[in-house]
Amino acid sequence: MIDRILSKVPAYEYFLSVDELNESSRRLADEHPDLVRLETVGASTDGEPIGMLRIGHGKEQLLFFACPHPNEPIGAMTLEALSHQLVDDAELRGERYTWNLIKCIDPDSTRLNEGWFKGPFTITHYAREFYRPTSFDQAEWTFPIVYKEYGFFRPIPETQTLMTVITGLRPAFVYSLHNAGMGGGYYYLHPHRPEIDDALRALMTDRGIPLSLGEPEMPWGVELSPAIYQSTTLTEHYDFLEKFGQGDPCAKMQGGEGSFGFARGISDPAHLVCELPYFYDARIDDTSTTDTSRKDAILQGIERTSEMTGFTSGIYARVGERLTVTSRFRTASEHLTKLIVDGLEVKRAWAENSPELDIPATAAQLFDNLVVGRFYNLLIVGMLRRALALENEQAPTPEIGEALAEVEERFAGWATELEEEIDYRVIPIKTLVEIQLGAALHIISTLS
Amino acid sequence: MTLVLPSVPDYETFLTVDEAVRNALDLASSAPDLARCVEIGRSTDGEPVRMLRIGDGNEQLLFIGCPHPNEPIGMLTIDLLAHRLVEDDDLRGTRFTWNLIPCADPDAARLNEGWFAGPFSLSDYARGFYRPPFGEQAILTFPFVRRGYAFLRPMPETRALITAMTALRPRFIASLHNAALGGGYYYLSPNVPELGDPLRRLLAERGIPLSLGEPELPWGIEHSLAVFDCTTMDAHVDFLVDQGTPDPTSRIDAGDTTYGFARRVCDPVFLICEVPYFTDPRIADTRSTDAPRRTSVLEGIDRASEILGFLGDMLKRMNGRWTTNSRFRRAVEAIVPQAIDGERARRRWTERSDEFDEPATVAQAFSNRLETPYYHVLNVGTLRRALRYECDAAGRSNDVARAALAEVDERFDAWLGDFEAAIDYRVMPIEDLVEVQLASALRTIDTL
Repeated sequence: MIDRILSKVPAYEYFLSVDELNESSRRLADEHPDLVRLETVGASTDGEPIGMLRIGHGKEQLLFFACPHPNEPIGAMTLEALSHQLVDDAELRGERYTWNLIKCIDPDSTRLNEGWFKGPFTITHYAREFYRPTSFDQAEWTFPIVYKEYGFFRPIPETQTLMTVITGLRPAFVYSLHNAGMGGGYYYLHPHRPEIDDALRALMTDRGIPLSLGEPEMPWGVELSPAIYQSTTLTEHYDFLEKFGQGDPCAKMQGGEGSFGFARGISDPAHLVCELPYFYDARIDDTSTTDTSRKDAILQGIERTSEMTGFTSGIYARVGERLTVTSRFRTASEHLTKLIVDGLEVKRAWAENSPELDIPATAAQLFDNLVVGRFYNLLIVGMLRRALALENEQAPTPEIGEALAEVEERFAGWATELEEEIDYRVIPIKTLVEIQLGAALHIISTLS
Repeated sequence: MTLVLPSVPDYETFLTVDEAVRNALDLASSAPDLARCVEIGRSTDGEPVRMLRIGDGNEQLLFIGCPHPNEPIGMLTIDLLAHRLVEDDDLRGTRFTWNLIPCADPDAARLNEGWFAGPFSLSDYARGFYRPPFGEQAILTFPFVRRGYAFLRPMPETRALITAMTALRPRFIASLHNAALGGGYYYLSPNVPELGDPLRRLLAERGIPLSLGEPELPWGIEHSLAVFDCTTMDAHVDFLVDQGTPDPTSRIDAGDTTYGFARRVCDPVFLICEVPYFTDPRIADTRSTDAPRRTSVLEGIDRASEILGFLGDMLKRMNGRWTTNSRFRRAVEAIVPQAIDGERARRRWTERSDEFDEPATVAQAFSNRLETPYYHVLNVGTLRRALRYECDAAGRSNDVARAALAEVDERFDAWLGDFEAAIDYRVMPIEDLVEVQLASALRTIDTL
């Protein structure tokens, strides 16, 4: 059945906007009132209603939510595709489940990414129109929790919406639809069902998406098998800081629990995250060795990142006080820069004092440190650019105009370098949707 | 260890919301090593909902003050408990963290402050009374799905409670409700049989009669005299579906209860201590009267129907004539049709069921003839406030509202005069009410 479902995923040419997603959901509910209900389950920070499609009448609840990070719209397309197939395909829908789909859990922030949703899909265009809030403004990471000495009680409205549906539905399966930007694909999941590991990896490799086989995204991540990690919780982060960090872990903690940690305490559902890139370069999974040592590769990467943070902090030091518009772009880029600066010192010390890094870097590691890192740096400069552009539009001054011009120039320079250095292929949306959808169906098939 | 009841000072008045919150904040700033005050959410009107956290034990206890806005005894109970916990190391202990929410619904509680300072009488209470309809109550909009019924629209105040409960996963919750007229009783789940006698004794020692008339909820399970099982909305949905109601949604417009929600999250011991402001010994008198219980119940339904009929007529007359949309108006417009429906169902049930052939007790007669009708008259007070608000806003331009207000004033005064004459009630000293709430909670915590 899974192959049949995946073969019917349409060849989407672009990502749907929030309005288009809402309109599509409304139409589906209007056309199939016996199968589909569209319910408002909360409101965003800016007061926009958050809708959830409820399809089927089964007793067990499956919950899918997309755009927990607003720059990750693949999941919205996955749910778009799934919603139509559920209506058309009685075997997929089944009798056992009710399918609960939130196509966009963070409409405010997703709207701020719509500038790149219609293409052209280039690194430059993506970075120019990119927006992502900092951790304590993310729907995914502000669930309330009390753990050891740490207490967090400030879920943002989008998280409150997820709390409502998770506690109300007590789902058997929760799918948090994230995706990456550049790099390989990988999964977070719980519980581990080794019998489907190969099928999950094949969803990616059969479609030419390399597996991410390097370091885990978070150092406390537990690898269950290649490219498959245990879903993470804040409690693991706390324990990691308690064990390896210095001083009170609470001082370094920010935000709250994630959707997995929260849902585990409510209905202990199966949980899945499927991280996929938009852009692919053959070097991402090239494990041949190079002439550069791994240590040098890491240190050079740190240099490039320092250059970016130095530039960004410099601009904020110069004009930060003059900014009158409190934009989400400013909050995100300024805070993110600070976080990176704090992290770089620790990383540099680690790289300089770790003899095990005195080995030749693989092409993938070299690419990761020298190129992929700069791609993510460019996203921050992109948000800085948007913060200044907004200020320049609403309260122009010569200083702001000058700073904006400087940022534009730097952004264009770095973007051009990356466009030249990265030989990337844009992965078709259809392919990404097939993988996200296929992964969900594999996990659901294991539910007892 | 047995928790010792602290001495309770004499209280002349209830705390206002501002006083309760200021006391909590002051306590946290004066004892920062023992107490902290966290914001757990925002009310409908945007006011912070706060929670005081005292001690640092691993097990969490939660006290919810003012769960209904016309029930301010709990604000004093929490105020007293908070101060004693900070002063008294033995009471605080090391096992628990005490989490105290002084006021769960500040917006609505403020609308009751008119009677908080006394004088305390059935009439003054009825004039200053406000209580939201079911679908707007902090303690009755918890999300849940059950047999085709889904409620996923918690009020902001409910979301604050969800945040606290899901973060803390408390071992024990005291939802500090209270009654108004008659006697005292408890809800306790799961039942702790050995608590029955001590809980009843707390009431008896202070001259508070046990409430032995008609139960508040006809389907309630009585563990022992005046100690009931806490209610859930699951039971209500089951009742409706089993009765053959095709779509329970048409009959319920509310979510689950605090207990129903808490049971699914962490299954705590849950206590509600219903102590009345006004007592009448007849509520504990189980001697038989001459009249059958059916006659007594029907007589009460006739009185209720007279009051509700008047309210229905007034609302019909005001239909299309309102220029304001106050909370008072919303409440009375939602409550009156539900109450009329409810009385109709009760009449059918009473006429058909065999259990009403027995003679009524004095307590049941009191419930039917006086207690329940008095609660219906409180709605007349709410309509009066809605009309006053309308007349203040519309000035002389709304003749219909002014005429309606004059008529409502007259009937309201007449009814209140009847109740004042027919009920020889005692106004309970506030300290006795606080003492029972606090002692019953400490007794229960002792059994954990």
